[in-house]
Amino acid sequence: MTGMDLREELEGAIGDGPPLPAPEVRLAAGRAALRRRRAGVGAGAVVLVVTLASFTLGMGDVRSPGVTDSPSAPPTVGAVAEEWRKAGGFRFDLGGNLQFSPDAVVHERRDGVVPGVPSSIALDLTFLGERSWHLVRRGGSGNWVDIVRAPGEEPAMYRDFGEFVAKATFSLEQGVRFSGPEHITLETVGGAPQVAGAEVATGPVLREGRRGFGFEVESGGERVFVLLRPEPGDDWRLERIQAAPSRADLASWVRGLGWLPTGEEAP
Amino acid sequence: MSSARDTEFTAYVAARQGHLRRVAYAVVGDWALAEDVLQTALAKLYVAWPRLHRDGREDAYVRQIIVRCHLDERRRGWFRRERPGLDGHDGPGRAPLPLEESSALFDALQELPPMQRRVVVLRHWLGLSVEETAADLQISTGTVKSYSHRALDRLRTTMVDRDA
Repeated sequence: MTGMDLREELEGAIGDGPPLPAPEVRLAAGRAALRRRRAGVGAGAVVLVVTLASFTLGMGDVRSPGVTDSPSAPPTVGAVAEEWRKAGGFRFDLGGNLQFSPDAVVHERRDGVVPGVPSSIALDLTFLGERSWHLVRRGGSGNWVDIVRAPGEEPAMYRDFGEFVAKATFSLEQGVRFSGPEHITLETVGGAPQVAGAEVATGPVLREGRRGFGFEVESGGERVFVLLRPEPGDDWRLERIQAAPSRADLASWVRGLGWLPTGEEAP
Repeated sequence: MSSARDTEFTAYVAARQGHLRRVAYAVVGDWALAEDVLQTALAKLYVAWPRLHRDGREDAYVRQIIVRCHLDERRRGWFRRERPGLDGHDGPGRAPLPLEESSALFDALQELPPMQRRVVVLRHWLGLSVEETAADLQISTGTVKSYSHRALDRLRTTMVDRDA
């Protein structure tokens, strides 16, 4: 397979997709983004007023792509309530701060629960009569993401809010974020952990992930061993992390933990 | 009255959005999500338009946003959910891939780990150099080579199996 073959094959495989929006739609979205940016660099008090005003008047710039930028009638109270309902009772404002619906009751809030992710916040709240737990952070594209436990959903997963925070914190951001080389993160893809943001010096040392995965990870000249173990429900638990003096030590370390049968070498 | 920025940006979008959305689709494997990612990228491009247009870096900027933005979004837990945010929008339904657009190669591409898939898209489809790919993905050139080697091995196997 030559490079040219692959390029041509990919060209043919990717296709053109559904019809594209008119360029004017992109222009409207761009203008809206520019307005947000300009509002964001204003004086703090002005920003606060603009933010609160736009939010009060129906989430301001929170619109779907494809919505034109032309003036329109102010959103109704019902529309605002519907926006809150879609958002689940809370969302980040333009300054990255959480805002809550007037109908939301926050029982507990813990800020910065994920090491290295200042925007991470754990919430225990009731909205529209439903109690739920959330771990949220502001995403790279302005969206936010969360892990939710609502009544009746995953009922046996957490004993209480504290356990939810502990497990959700562990799983946020590609499944695992840990101290040490801060930019090393692990993620689950197709049920198996993958390493991103770092060089993987060796692959899984345990077969097929049935009992766990061991990785030697190198990043910025620093090596560490990382071991993950599966938990019920396709969850993964960070078992151990340790500075790694050399690659040869990985297999013996894993074997010492009883994960690798005696005599079986890490690949 | 349209400003020069608006006129230039609209012309650029008309000429390039088809290609750029295909890039996003190759990275994310879903047309609706590709549309989301491209919309975000183009909005950011508009904000920075004067500088980027002056430097002729429009494509590179959008491409970097696509691969990096989606990398952020893909770093999700197995029971994590995404909600609309201030830059977001109601999540469109994930349309299944039309049969006629499905292929063993594309499927194999989507089955690659995210970083390997991005390397294939940047290096072997868009034709970027190792250095350019490394810069776009913010990884080392050695990692690019390593990912590229592993990804091509897997794609090669797929194509051989398909042709057999």
